[in-house]
Amino acid sequence: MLTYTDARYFKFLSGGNDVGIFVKIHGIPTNVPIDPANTDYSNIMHLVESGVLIIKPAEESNNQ
Amino acid sequence: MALPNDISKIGQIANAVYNSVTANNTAVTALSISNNSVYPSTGGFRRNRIINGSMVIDQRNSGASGTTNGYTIDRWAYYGQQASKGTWGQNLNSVTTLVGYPNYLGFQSSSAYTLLAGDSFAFYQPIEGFNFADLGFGTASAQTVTLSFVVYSSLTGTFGGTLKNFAQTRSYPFTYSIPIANTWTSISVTIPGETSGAWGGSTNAGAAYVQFGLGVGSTLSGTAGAWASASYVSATGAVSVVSTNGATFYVTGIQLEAGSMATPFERLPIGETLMLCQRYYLGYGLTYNLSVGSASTPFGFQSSWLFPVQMRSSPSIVYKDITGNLSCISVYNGNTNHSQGFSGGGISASSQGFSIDANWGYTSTPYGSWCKFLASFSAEL
Repeated sequence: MLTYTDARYFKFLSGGNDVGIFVKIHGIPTNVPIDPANTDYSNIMHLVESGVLIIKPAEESNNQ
Repeated sequence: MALPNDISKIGQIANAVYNSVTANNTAVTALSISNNSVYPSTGGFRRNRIINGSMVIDQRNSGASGTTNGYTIDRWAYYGQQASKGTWGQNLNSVTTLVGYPNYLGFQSSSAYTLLAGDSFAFYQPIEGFNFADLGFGTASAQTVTLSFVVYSSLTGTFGGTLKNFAQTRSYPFTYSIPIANTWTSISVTIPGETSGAWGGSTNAGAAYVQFGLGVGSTLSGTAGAWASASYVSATGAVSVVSTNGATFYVTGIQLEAGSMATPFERLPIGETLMLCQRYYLGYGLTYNLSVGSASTPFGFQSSWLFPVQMRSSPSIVYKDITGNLSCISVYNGNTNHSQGFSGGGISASSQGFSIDANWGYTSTPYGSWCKFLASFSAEL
């Protein structure tokens, strides 16, 4: 089972909605898209629903 | 003229047509084929539901070996319940290959591990719904399928694997025999279509797994030759490769096709196989170049790239600078490389390509004028 830690949403600089989740997968920094068909996104959402992982909101700067 | 459903007669018919034409000096004006198929029940072309069954594409490792769980060569993953019980790799140990199969996926055990009941060690490939739905699994019209491959092991005996749905609620353990050690052996396993369970439908979701057991405990092993409401990985009593120190297992030429007959392995040009693989993973094959988008700090980047093929889903992205620092890009001023992260924004992708919309935090003068980075994209199941 892959491990997901340090999850945080991020936005594009030009604003708008969150475009992805910055997360460490087995310690490797990875940009995960907000797409239910993406395996990592699906795994992250299961961890969030089970209370194992919290995704921090996007910051105004230092997004990645 | 009607052709029979027997490929062995195609040559005879071709000879008959040729003889007829040459003898009468007339043109053939009509030729009908009764089954519209060289291979009965399979449509003849694009028979194989497995991608990279010839083990030729290895974007992640370029032939290097590994020990960890996850994808090995393209589309083929390794799972070991316990860490560090073996090494996998493309053409591992460089054994003499079988003519026509220059590449294989190999595993070598690193200990004489005693399996626990819940253990599993296996190679597997998940199959996308779009590539499986026509087989009708989960319906009364489910078709019989045949799995064929070529295998080689330092061990002999009865080995095992499974065909399983992606939901892991239905599985079919199968066995096959390797009678002679260290000899390539062709295997064919016919599996009846499964009328029960969820199989993903005609979507980009997962439909099925093909698994090859390398050592599976009793809890995850089932009776061979029957569908079961369980998530089995192999067949009861199958040989455990991980239980013999130094034991090897090599496999290639894997094909899963409709019908009860194994047809010759479907060979594709390497470019086609690569594109099929890139629907799921696109490796660090390209250095992306960027020009700085603003003349004063903070520097802005906005750019987009198309993928060579549409990926299965929006992919996860790992990027790094040219010296390998993750989540960094290389920014040059003069001949000096500055490894920098973004100070805002980021990289995001759809199934068709990816975009950067970000600032970079480097603010010293002279300011950078161009940037480089590498990235990998994964839309694996």
